[in-house]
Order: sequence, then C-alpha cells, then structure tokens
Amino acid sequence: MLSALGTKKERLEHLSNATYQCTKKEMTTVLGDKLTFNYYSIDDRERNITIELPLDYLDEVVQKAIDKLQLTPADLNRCGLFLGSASIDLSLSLPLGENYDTSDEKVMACERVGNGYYADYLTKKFGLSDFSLTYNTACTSSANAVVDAASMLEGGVIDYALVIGFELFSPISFEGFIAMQLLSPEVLAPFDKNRSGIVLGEAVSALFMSRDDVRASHWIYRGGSSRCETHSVTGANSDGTGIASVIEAALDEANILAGDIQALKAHGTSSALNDLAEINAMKQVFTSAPNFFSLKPYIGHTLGSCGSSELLLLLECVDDGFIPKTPGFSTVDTDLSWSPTTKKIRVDNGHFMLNYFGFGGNNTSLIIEKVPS
Amino acid sequence: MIYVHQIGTLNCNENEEFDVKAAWKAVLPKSIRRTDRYIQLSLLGAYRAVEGVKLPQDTALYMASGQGNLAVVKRLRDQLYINQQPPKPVDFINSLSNTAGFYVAQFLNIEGKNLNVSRLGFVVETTLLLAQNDLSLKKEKMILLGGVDERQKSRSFTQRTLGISDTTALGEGSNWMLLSAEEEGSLASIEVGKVFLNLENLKEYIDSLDETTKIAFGLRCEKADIDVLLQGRKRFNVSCDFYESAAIYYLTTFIVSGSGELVFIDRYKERYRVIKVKLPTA
Repeated sequence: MLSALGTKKERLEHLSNATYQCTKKEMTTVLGDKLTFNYYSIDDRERNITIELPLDYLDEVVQKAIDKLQLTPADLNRCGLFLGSASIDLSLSLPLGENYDTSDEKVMACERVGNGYYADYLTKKFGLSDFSLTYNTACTSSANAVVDAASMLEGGVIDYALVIGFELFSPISFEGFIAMQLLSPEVLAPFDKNRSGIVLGEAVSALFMSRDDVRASHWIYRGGSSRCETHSVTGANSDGTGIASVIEAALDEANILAGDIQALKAHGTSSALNDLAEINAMKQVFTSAPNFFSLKPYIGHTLGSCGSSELLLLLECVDDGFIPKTPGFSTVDTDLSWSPTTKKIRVDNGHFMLNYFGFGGNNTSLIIEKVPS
Repeated sequence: MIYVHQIGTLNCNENEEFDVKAAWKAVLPKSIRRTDRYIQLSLLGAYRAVEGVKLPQDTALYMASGQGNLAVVKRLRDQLYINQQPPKPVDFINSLSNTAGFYVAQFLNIEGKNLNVSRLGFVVETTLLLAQNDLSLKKEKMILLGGVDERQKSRSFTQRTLGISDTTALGEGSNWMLLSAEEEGSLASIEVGKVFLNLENLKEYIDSLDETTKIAFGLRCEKADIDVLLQGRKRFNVSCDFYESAAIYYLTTFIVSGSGELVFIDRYKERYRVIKVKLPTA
C-alpha cells in the first residue's frame, strides 16, 4: 500500500512507536483565503493533474501485491476486481477541472471515461477476469468492496478477488470538506475530549483475497455486514443504534459473540458526533470496552480508501504481534467515557473487528480472524 | 436464478422533455429537500417499482449507473473554476453517488445494504450478477435493483464521455426491479451469464436456444452483430435512446409486454454478455 507512512518497514516503525508524518497543505480557496491544514500525503512529488495521474500509484500497489504472492497470469485471469473510492469521478473531474477555461467539446477526446475508468484500466493491464465493479459509497467504498469480494468468492463466481482502495488529493473534496467545516486545524484526536474534526489523507491499497480451497492464508474473512441508516445523509445517528445494528449483523454472520473480539479497529474520525455515535454503538453491543483504536491519526481520513487501507495496516500490525496506540488521545470525554488504546498492546491470533461509516448513511462492519500458522 | 417481483420504469427519449418535479408532484405532494434532478429521477423510478408495497426494512438497494451523477460534478466544477465560489455543501454531498441511494432508502424506509456501483460497460449485467450471487447465498432476502442515468445538457459532452458517436440519440432513465430468490408470485425469472462471450461463443449460445426465444440487442450492439446473430429469430424491439443502464428498461419492457423467453444481448468493446428473462406460463 501507499500512504503517508512510507514503506512497510517504516509503517511498522511508526505504528509501533505511535508516530506519524503529517504535512501542511496550504490552500488558497476560491474566495482568496489562504488556509493551512494538516494533510497526510503519499509523497511530495510534483503532480501533473491529468486523468492518468492515479495510474502509476495503482500500478505500483497491484504489481507489488502480485509479486509478493507470486500470482501467475492464470491466477489473475480468475481474479475479479472490486475498486472502492469516494472520488471515482476523478476521471471526469480531472479533465473538467483542468480545462475549465475552454469548452468541453474541444478538450474531451471521444473516449469512454467516468466511473469505472480505473477498474477498466487495471483489468486490462493485469489480465484480470471479466468481473469488475467500482464502488462509490463514500467512506465505506472499499470496505463494501471487501464484503462483496468475499460474497463473490463464496459463490464461486471468481477464485481470487483484488480489492483496491484509492484516494488521492482532490481539490473538490478538500474544498467541500472546508465548506462543510469538517476539517480540523489541529491534529487528529479520535475519542478525545478536545477532538476538533477530521484531517484528510491519501492512500492507495491492494488486497488479494481467495477461497481457502484456492490458496490458504492464516488470515480468514469471517463475515461482514453493510447497512444504510436513514437518519441523516451526513452522518450516523449519535445514539449509535444504526452502527450497533451493523456490528450485530457482522457478529451474526461470523457466528461469534462480541466477547470473542480480540480488538476493534474503530472508524475513529475525530469528529464530535461520529465518535459519539461509535462509542454509543459499542456500548450497546459490548458489555465492557474492547481494545479499540483508530488508525486515522497515522494516515489521515483516506475516505473511500480507508476500508482496504486500514484493513491492511491492521493485518501488518497483528502479524508483527501488536495493535497500536491511538495517537492524539489524552483526555477522556465524559460523554464517551470509553477510551481507545493508550499504549501498544501485544496480540497474536484471534478475531478482529473493523468498522467504517460514511456519508449517505452507509455503515459497514468486517470481522477477520488470524489463525495460528 | 433470481425472480422479479415488482418493476418500475422511467424512460425518456431524446426528443422528449421529462419534468421530474411535475411527475413527482403528480404522485406525491411533498417534495424532498436538498435533492437534485438525478436524485429525483432515482426516487421516482424506485417509487414506481414499489408503489403500494410495504418493503421489509432489511431490503437491500443496489443502484447501478453508467455515468453517476454527472450533472453535479459539472456544477461543482463550474462553482470552483468558473464562478470562483466554494462548493455548495448540498452539491458536495450530492456528488457522492450513494447520496441518491440514501434518499431512496429514506423515502422507502429500508435500511439494508445500500450500494452504488458503476462500470464502463455491462454495469447492469454485473450488478445483476452480484444480486444473483447474494440472493442465492441468502446474504440478502430481497434486493431493489435500479439503474439510473441522467441526460446532460451538453449533448456533445455526454457522447464523448460515453465514447459513442455524435449521431447517437441520448436518452435517460430510472428503471428498477424488486428481486428475490423466491419464485412464488414472481413476474419473471432472470438468469445472468457469468462470463463475457466473443461473437463466436455467442453465436453458439444462440444456436442452442429454443427457437421461440426472442432476442433483444442492447444499445452498444452494432448492426453487423444483429445480422450475424438474429438469423431468422424473432427480435424484441424496444424504443430507447442511449443511456448506459438502459438494459433494465429492456428487461422490464419485456416483462410488461412480452411472452415466453427473452435473451438480452449487450456489447462493450467486442465482448458480449447475455441476460435471460423467462415469463411464467399462464
């Protein structure tokens, strides 16, 4: 994966030591205001904003995953693609955005673009199977891609699944979050009394899944659920009922009890209402606070990419024998009363829950298990 | 095999202007605030599919689109770069494609899985394949599956982004089906081909069909395909101008006005996919 945490070695060092690399992003808004926000960038290379911009990043993560697993062309030909991103209109908004002073007709080549462009590219480039879908369900996009990949594997429609989460800096998204006053001028502090909003980041991740009769792994997807709560288009009900129902459905599908969860990766956006809703939901399902943590202080809120990107970070941490501390948290919020991890905790095997919530009322919960090798 | 229990269609050809607000008012006096035309099309099509039906609250909603909410992407671009204004929060929220699904779910009071999926070609076939899989595995009991595409003001822009010729007439639509794995009380059964076919495979497939099976061709199929594949079989014609998710309109039209069995063939970049629809015998 590509994120602000660097290489795998660097990622594990950061996660183990509760450190991260946040940069400042200066934006001159369209109103002429100069604003500075924290941001988690993959790199600081000069970017030429074109429709091809994401391709190098996508190529890199997919090729690395193929090499690591030594997948053959025959394997890839049996592999479906599930791509999640909150900015999949990028293939349209980029050419539209950069050519704002000329007419559409002059600048657009007669080529099919739009949602699905990057999935189509990857399918061709890596010789994947016929099955591909692009998910745009806001911050649950690539988490929902994982749920559906597992279902299509179970149904035998495909033998392998490649799940991609990708989110690169998008001026429209950034300005949109500013307009909604959701960005924090400070650092991320999930579940902290003084939390003040989200900090955005970018990440591109590739995750291969398969059925165990095709290729075994010590990581097993046990179940997941995705539901829509219709309380508000911009967030979960702060009473936690919507989130609790998706967590309970995921536990049902995995056929385990809440007490079986070894640790929980929270969505943990550091926004006042989201964190409140998440804690209220956990209190409805767990009799006492599980070991829970947020990965967003490490890579930022990577929107549609956080489903697969945070899943990959969790796998790497547990494979290294720990779950991380939640940076930024120091003061208990009496409205929440439950605290996330304040130090690194040793773990080896067991069940892990990952929760994701997004605009459009979309809530998703995943349960995975690491079995002894 | 999956079964269709309810259908709702909204199809508008290029020479027709469709006033979605007026159509909405005709059925429901209450407007839904903060929605744009794309979302209103979604709402109206879904409403037509399940009018008078109380859906179980865990009904899932799978919404497919070839273009997504393209109009709002253009609006945001105009606000930022032409008008030099910050994005309007309502447009920013509506630019997330699943916002339309949220409003449909809210209106219908359903809280199951809510997906917004897209693909450059075969978006309906692939979404139906996902639904077929989820229903057969009992992951979902009932799925409201729709395809929504809105015609844009700039004809040329739309044709170029869709990669179609500048003589192709443009339509729009919001077409929906309520699906389950239960045959009882169904209007039709649907079977979705799991793989792409080339022209030769497709010809063999058609040769294997019962001679009474009718054939319908999607909007990306070319005349040469039709000449090769039809071979004296009865063609099922649908009057429909181009939009990417029109396949559902073909299927629902056959369910309303056809008989027997239909094979719908669609094409994208020299590859083909098929959907078989079978109506119950009287």
